Amino acid sequence: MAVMSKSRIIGAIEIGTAKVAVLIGEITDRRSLSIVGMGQCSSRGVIKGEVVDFKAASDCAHAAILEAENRAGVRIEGVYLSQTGGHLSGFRNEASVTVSAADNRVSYEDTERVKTLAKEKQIPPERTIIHHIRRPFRLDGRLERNPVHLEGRRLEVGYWTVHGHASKVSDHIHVINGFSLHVDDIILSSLASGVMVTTQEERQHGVLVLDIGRGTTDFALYQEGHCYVAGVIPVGGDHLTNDLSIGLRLTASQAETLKLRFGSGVLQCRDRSQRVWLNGDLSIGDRQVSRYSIERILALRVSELFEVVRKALGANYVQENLGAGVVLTGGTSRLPMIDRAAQEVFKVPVRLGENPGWAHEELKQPEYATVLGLLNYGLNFQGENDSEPVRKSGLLGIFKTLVGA
Amino acid sequence: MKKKQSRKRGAQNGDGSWRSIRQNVGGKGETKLAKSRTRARTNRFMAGTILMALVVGGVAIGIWYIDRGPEPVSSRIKANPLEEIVLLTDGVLSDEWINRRLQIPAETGLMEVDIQAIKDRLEADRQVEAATISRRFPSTLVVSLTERAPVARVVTQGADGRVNVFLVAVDGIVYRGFGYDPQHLEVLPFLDGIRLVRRGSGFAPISRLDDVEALFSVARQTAPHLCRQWRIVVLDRRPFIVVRTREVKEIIFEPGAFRQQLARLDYILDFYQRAPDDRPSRIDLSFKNQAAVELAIDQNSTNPNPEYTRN
Repeated sequence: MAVMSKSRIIGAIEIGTAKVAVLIGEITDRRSLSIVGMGQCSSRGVIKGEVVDFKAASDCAHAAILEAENRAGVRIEGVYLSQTGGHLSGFRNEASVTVSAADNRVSYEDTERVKTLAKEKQIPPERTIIHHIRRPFRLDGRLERNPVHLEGRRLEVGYWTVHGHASKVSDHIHVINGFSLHVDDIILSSLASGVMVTTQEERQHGVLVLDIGRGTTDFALYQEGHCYVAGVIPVGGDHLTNDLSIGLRLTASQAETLKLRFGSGVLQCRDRSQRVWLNGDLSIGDRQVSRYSIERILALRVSELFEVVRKALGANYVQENLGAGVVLTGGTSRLPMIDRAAQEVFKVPVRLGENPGWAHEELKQPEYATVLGLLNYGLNFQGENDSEPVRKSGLLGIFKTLVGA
Repeated sequence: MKKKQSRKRGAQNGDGSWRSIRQNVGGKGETKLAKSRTRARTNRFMAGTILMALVVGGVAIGIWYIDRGPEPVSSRIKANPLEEIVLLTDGVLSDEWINRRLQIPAETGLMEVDIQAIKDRLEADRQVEAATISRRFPSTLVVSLTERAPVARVVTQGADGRVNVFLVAVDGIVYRGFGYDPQHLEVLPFLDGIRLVRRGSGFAPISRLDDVEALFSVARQTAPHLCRQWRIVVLDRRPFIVVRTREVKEIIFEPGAFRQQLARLDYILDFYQRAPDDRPSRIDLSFKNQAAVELAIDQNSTNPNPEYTRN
């Protein structure tokens, strides 16, 4: 008797400030993932990761989803959606319990009790929780991955809770719902991209991942293999462009072009008289701009960006705990010398993140780290959150595929 | 269905999680792209369902068609009235006899003629071995008969004491016989030693008479002077054929090689014709290359003992 393989089509969707990226993956037997389709569209109606024009955002998101579905030749059954935006924030909450058993051995009920207590903190009604990110257990001060059956007196656990404005999160979800798709799970962008550009070993040693997009910078701080802190800074590549535009009195598109052509994360140019052509095509209106000014503005802004991140991390940022340093990803991480700028601020080794080797050449660029991470999340956590039945590739499956049901 | 799930899920997660946000899948916020996708999906579903229904229906009709067998050929077309009936037969039945059996009313259309009923009526008479009825458009009905030929006669006596003569065909069918030339029937032998069983208005078939027919056929060709004397054929000693004549009480033939047996019979009868004192009463030709002759016991004969007796 032939064994019937079970597969499920999931979609990973990132509605970012710069672009909407969609990847379609086929998960077979809950073990293997195949990327079968990709769609992308320039983003509209989204500022700093938040939907400000529902119709415009829906138009481009739906176009990207449709393109991906057409390229894959399949229909998405459930969506894993990334979430970013300045409205997101987080807090730490910890709880501890006394081990209940007479022999001081931790039971499963003890772990559940302390986890419930640690998640009990109330949030304002207009806020909604995106993630409860659990840190390792501590048993009498010792770090334990799984304390059940271990002996101790005091069991502690901490959570980093990420929450956002309910209406902003709803807007994201409703954009997807408008395409007759159900959102199976929402994942913080930095968590999705962080898993893609770092290894388990780096996360164990401590690493800070910065996903610098156009409108926001998502960060995730890993220690002892767990995410300790994650958050969003509403500053991204757009702010560099904006500063150039104001400082050099340029249009936004001209400033963006200069940033891409001559931008640098640190000030390298020592000759203040060195000038570069604005357009470089000798057209009417073309003029020369000081390269020193370009680099100085960008370097200051980039440095400020990293300072803001460091400030947001606060006491959680301990240089000695970042054994694996800082990893930069996202579209703005392609700015030359940005890693050196980060190194000067964080005082730890900084490298540019690379997507895993199994990713297609087209997906190797850092701006796809998030959407790849979403698929990875879907593979590892699918079935925990969704209640949709898996698709069977039998006769019924063929009929469903045939009729598109 | 999905909407219901979403609401249920939302209701269960009243803990401030994003999952408590109601997902209105396919509701407000549908763009033109989403609508066209939904429409295409619906169309594809409809097309798939219709296609599937057609396939299932086709298979069902096919099975029904195969299962019910071939449909009798019929036509609702009003054909021309029947104007001519062509009667063909290989026997002796007259057109009048056949027409009487056809019973076709006047003004009948060609397509209104019940061919099967006519065939059954004609074949009900045992003289008719087979009847073929065919329409020849536009207005002709062709009736073609194959008749049985008599090879012998049989005499029966009814309950009222009346004697009836029936004819017997080579296939053992006993029938009354119409239209035969009496002279032709006169030469047919009578059968004896058989048991007739009544069936319906006639008799059940007796055993086939192929060997009797073969014997008489050979005899008519090679020794007609002998054949003319044969009056009775006795069939109670099968497979032997016993023939009785006025002069010889029993002539016994065995099946096959009739020509040789007739030659020996001719020789024997010739021989005894020249010896008027010896009159054979029984000649057994069933021995290979030999014949046994039993002479009649004559009070005046000098030789009272028969030469041979066969049981």
